Amino acid sequence: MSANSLDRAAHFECADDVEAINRLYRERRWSDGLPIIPPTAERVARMLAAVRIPPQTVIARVAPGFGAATVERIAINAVMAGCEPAYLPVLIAATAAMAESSFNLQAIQATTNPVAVWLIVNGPIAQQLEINAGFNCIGQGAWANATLGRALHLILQNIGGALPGEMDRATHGQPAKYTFCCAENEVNHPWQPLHVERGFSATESTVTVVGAEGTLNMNTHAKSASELLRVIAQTMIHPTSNEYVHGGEPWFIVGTEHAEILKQAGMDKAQVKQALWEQSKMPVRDLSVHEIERARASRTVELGPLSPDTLLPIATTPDDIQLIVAGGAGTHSVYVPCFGNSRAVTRRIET
Amino acid sequence: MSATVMLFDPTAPQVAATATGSVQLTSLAGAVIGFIDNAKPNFHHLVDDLADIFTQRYGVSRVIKQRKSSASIPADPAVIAEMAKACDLVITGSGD
Amino acid sequence: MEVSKQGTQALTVCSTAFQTLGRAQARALGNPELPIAVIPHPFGSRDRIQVRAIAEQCAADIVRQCVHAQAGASA
Repeated sequence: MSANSLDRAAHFECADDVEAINRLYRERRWSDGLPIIPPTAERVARMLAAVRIPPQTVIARVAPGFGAATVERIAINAVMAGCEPAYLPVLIAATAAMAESSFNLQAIQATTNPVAVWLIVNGPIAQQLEINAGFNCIGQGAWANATLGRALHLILQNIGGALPGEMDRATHGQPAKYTFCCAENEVNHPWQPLHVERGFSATESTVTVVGAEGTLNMNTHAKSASELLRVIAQTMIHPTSNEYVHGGEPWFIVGTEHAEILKQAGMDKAQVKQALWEQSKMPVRDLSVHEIERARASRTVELGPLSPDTLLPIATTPDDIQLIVAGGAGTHSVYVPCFGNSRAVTRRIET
Repeated sequence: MSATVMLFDPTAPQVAATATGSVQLTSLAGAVIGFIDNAKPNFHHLVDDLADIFTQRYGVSRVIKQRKSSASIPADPAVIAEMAKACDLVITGSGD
Repeated sequence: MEVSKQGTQALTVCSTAFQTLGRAQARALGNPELPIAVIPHPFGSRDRIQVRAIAEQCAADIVRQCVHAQAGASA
């Protein structure tokens, strides 16, 4: 059998009954546990018509099973998740981004950690596709957010072969493994948006993939930048964090009201990152004995010998701390602790 | 009889099996054994004990130990190549 | 996995909780016959004496899987 025929999606005939089809996809473990839209030949063809790339083009091989993510297979999973055809270019770019070695998808997929892949969309496409960056942007209610994040996790499970309890060894997982996607609020933004910070032009559209361990809401009515940064830095410190062990890449969704406080104080992104990095250092002694051993294996080259008094920074450099601005009105920001041995990847969305 | 519909399988076949052609060992006497320690807690103790047992009881001539900086990053390809060349058997740790 | 692709005998040690992953991953990467020596889970919390006892069993398991004695020869 040639590699080419392996890259063609398998198909079969089935009774045209939505309950029976869902039963079948459930039995074969092709769903995430929620009902799916049946990926019929017509629906998949409509999805594929949104891009000019030949369906058999392999975008990436997805760890840990290293199945070929062809445009066709990405489209099939997108249909199942309920995506509109216009969303397909986002998923193609995201699949390519996840395959970059710095993202470390193999570990993200097979780890006991609950890592979910978070999609952040920037640029004009976010508004065109109505990807929510405002109120409840990582919650429910927006079709694009919900179905894009869901499609990505179906790709990880179905094409990557990471079935829960088998190659996906997550001890608990997390709700974000169903879906986790938002846009950045580029209108009420005191700084450059994420994609511009990462070298793209403001008029380009991009998707960023992040290996997110969870979300922790931070509600604070702090009115000065120094007070706000102090309480956020205190929140970052937790001795069960993978990031302190390995030197990670923590993310923040800064709420627009908090962003305004930082803007009024005249702080740029680099200054915010520097302050958080400095103020979130944790003494090595706060870690458990085994975690100190892991941190020694992982960070001695970076930090030299670790004594109980050594102050561990959460990341190797302040610039490893990542900030986006999103959300509606309110005194909230979100801390997104991450996997540690993974770096987010941003890709241009080709439409 | 109800109508039928053509549906797609959303999964991808996993890569086809390849023959490894590994050299089979008939004895450990005089063999060189390599360990790639995944840096998980206690694994270095297991490596030390296995090295001890293999050297003292099975006549292994040499043990080479390498330690990854973390379980969740792959071993350096240069280290893998070097170990594959120098050793008759390479033992790695996976998971917890 | 990467070692055995280079023609050298390889074996992976993993705990019971990771046996499914190890086997599935070996299959996915084209080496379904990769020998796996399984140790009890959780392994990281064992004390030094327990590790030694596990090493005794593990060594025997490794020899059983990796050393294919010719007739009359011992491992």
